[in-house]
Amino acid sequence: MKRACHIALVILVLGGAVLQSLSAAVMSSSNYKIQSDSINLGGGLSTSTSYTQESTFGEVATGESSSASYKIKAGYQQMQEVYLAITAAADVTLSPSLNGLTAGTSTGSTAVTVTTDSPAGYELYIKASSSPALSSSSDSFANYTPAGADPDFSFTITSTVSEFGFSPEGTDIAQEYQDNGSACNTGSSDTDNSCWNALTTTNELIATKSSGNHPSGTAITVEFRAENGSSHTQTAGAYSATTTLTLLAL
Amino acid sequence: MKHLLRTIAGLTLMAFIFSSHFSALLALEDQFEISLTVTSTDVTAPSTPTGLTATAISSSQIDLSWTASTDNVGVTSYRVYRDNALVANPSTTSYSDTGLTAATTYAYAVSALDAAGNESARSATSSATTLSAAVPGGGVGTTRRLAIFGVAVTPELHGATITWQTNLDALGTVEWGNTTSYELGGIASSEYLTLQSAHLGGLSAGTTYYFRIRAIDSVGREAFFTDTLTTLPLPEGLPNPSGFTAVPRESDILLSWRNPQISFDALRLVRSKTFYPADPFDGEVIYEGRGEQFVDTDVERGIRYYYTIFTRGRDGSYSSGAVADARIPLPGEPPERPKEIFERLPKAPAVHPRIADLTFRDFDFIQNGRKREVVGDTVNVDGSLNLTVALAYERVPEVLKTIVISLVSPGDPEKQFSFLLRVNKDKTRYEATIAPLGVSGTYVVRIAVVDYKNQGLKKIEGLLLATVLKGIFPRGWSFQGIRKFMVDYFWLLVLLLFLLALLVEFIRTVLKKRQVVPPLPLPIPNRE
Repeated sequence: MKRACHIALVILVLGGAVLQSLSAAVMSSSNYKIQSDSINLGGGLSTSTSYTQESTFGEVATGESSSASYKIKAGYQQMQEVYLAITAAADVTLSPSLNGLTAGTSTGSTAVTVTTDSPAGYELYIKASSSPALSSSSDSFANYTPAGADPDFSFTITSTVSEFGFSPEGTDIAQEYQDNGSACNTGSSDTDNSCWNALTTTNELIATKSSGNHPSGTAITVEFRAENGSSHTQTAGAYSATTTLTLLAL
Repeated sequence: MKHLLRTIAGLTLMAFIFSSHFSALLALEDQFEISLTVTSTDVTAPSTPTGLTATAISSSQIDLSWTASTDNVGVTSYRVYRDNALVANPSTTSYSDTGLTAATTYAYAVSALDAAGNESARSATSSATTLSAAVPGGGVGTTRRLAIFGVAVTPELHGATITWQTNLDALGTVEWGNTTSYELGGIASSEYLTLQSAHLGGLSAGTTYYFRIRAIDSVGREAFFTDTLTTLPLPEGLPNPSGFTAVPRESDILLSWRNPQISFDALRLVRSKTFYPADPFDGEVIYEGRGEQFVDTDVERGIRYYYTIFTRGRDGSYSSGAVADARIPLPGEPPERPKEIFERLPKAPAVHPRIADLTFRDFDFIQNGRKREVVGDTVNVDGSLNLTVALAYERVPEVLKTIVISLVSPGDPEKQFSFLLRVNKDKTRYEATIAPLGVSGTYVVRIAVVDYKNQGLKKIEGLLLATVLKGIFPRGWSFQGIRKFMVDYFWLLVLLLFLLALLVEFIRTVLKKRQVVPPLPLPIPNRE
């Protein structure tokens, strides 16, 4: 009888692992994985040198138990490790429209609230789906080029170009975008409309926190700016940039 | 004990499997669109015109000229203000204000406009005073008349210098044009002299213009002189032989061509195994004479031979050269199809940037001393005249190169004739002169520039529409011309003669039928 139970145990473990990986594959990407669905086949089981637990599968030994040396979260409800949420970012229409034959500036912004109860906090990234980010069928704005390795405190372009960039605002913005009133990646201020960078196809960290902020969450605003130089001719047309914010729980 | 160990192993395995899944990151994505509308509205005015000068030409005309303005999009026209009133809207940087009152000062300013209607500020003012009215008969009690004499015209390629004298000190103006309206321009002198000269620029080569000199002295006496001048024609080179081909046969190469229809000394046929001989001394001279054919027997199978044939004029100068090449195939090889010139060269993209920039429009097509108009990549030519193709010397760098022009026979893409463009005597152009094409049609033109220094090849293609305008008779009634005509149109002549014979026969038949036979006299009735 015992032998039969052990064989069943091994088969169920392997089967559970396979099912777990299958369900996880359906809901994961190369970068992240959606929290696993209820498979109702396992609980979190841990071992320590001072105890063993043997249980069959199913909703047994549910609930949270802890000792000095281990923590058990067993059962479906306890598999929900963190809470993670981001409000939908509204589409942005930069205004005013630009006259491609003269110098001009067009701005806009979108705001999101990110919430997590992960004790390690979160990271928020931004990226564009194409390079240059802001383009029409026949022309584009060059990605903003800061003067040095850090974002530019003020948005500055030469008269012969047109460029597009962004700047995050909020209490959790990454150090790179914090300023001291005249330079970025230094100090701890968040001067309005300061610290501009290029929106590229690589994920750029714009906000981070090392602790949870559930339930209030944190508001993050992303400013966008497109500018045409006085000696530059920008082809008339409808320009767009598809942008993705990615929120990671740590 | 065994049981305990097995349980521990199983649980450890489970923990490992599940914990590896739990260690994956948790993430959310949020995508949104950013949009921007860019319009194209020109709100920038052109720059203010500068350099405005006003010159009195006559008692009723003042000519204006100024420096062109700039604009972010483009200047389309100017506004001319006379004494602050708008009088004209020219599109060029000059204007002739006519219908003015004699001996009156007028103040002018100009502004520039762009297509969006933006107007620049007005230029600085420039004033001029019209000349005094001409007094018939000399005026003020004198009977002396002003006269112009000693007019001399020195024509140039694109201009002319005119000098003249007057019997009294006088101002002079010269106007010129394609008609006696002298619509193209005018120049005025500002000093009262008895010897004046004017230089006319911007003229077309080989063209006749009407000009008029007007002299006016300080008391208003006028004198006129009208005539025409003709600018120098664009030089054309010695024509090359035409239809030059090299046909490989069993053991020799047959070279044939048609001699140019001019008086010449001889033809020189030069051969090389490396490449087309670039000049009459760049290879082995294998024939010199006045024939139209030569068989090169001193050839080996499998080797490509390059030929250039030159016309030598009576003065010892040479034409640029017509080129052809041939190779007797080795046993077993199939015969060679005619290939586009330089197709056999390795395709190398590296040419000097100035060579890479060349287009069909950089080449001049000259007939009768005048350039033919090139529209896009097409040029219309008279198929009964010599055609000189020229490229200005400074258009290409002084690297070692070969320029070849090939014309593909209309209706037969396998038949093409090629000529070298060589530097002329005064090093102003690369040129080749092609004898009259003789056949109307569309010729594909391929120009190839081989840059030896950069090991590259630049190809340019265009079209040449030839029309044989002066009838079907070749120029000149030389014996060779008549013979050529008879040969070229032999079957047409036979057909015409046959039709003529039929017509004659028909007329004869018709006339025969209509011939009236006179009636026989009636017998006189016997009255007895």
